[in-house]
Amino acid sequence: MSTVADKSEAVSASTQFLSDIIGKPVYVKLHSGMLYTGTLESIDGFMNIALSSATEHYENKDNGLINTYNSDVFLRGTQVMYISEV
Amino acid sequence: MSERSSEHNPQRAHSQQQNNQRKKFESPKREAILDLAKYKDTKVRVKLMGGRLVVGVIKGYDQLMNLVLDEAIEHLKNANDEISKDKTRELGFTVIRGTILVSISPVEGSEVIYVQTSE
Amino acid sequence: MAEILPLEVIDKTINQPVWIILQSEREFTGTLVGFDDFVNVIIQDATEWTTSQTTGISEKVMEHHGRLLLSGNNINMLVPGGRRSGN
Repeated sequence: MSTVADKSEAVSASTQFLSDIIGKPVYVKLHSGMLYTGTLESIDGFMNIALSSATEHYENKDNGLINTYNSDVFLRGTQVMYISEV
Repeated sequence: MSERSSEHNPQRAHSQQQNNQRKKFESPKREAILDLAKYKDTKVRVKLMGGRLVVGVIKGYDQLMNLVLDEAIEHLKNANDEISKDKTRELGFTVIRGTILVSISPVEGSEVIYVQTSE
Repeated sequence: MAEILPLEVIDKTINQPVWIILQSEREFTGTLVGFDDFVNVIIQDATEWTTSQTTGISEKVMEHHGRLLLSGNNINMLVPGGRRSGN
């Protein structure tokens, strides 16, 4: 069993996850409820996120498309609720 | 944990000793002002940032005031966004984040003396 | 004396069902994969809910397949074992 203390020495679970999903399609939801789907171009420890070919919906994809972005979209880390694998 | 060990680093020890008296008042204390040990296994009322109210039995805690509650019950709000006394939901064995903790007090030894009702 | 440390409780929940309640009306259920020092949390196959703070009734927002990294910033409570029946 890994203890809590082990975690800070090893690569933390979240850091591992972030490096795993770079370049992959993701969902990102902000606290406002806006949901972005796109390819994860980059992400940092503050959860600042850059997506390419992103689409924008409210809450889920069943709610109609609000926007499509052809170039990069930058999302501020403080506003990010989660990032998830598609 | 690593923050604590740096406290005992010998280079800082000297200046710390000098300023000990002053620092006692100026800097935030490392130790909690409330010893939660005396509330262990007692029922407490915990208020959280965002307005949630949770009642439960303290089973554990840490320095950051993360709590472990057992038999936790969350009080729901009424239509006026006020915490209601009787509308609850069961959470059970729960970890509460210390970062969003607003207040904590034992249930025994306190009583409701006045409930404000909106017109 | 046996102390129960909150982060140890979360650590023991890894690979188990978990129910996570945010500061807002939003909740997540799924399998806990891991967490870090800030209690950012990774959940496998998460279901996202909004739960009324007046009725306690939950509505499903969406289901996630794969892992989800939930920011620890707005996490209020973590319940090992997942959502209580009746909620």
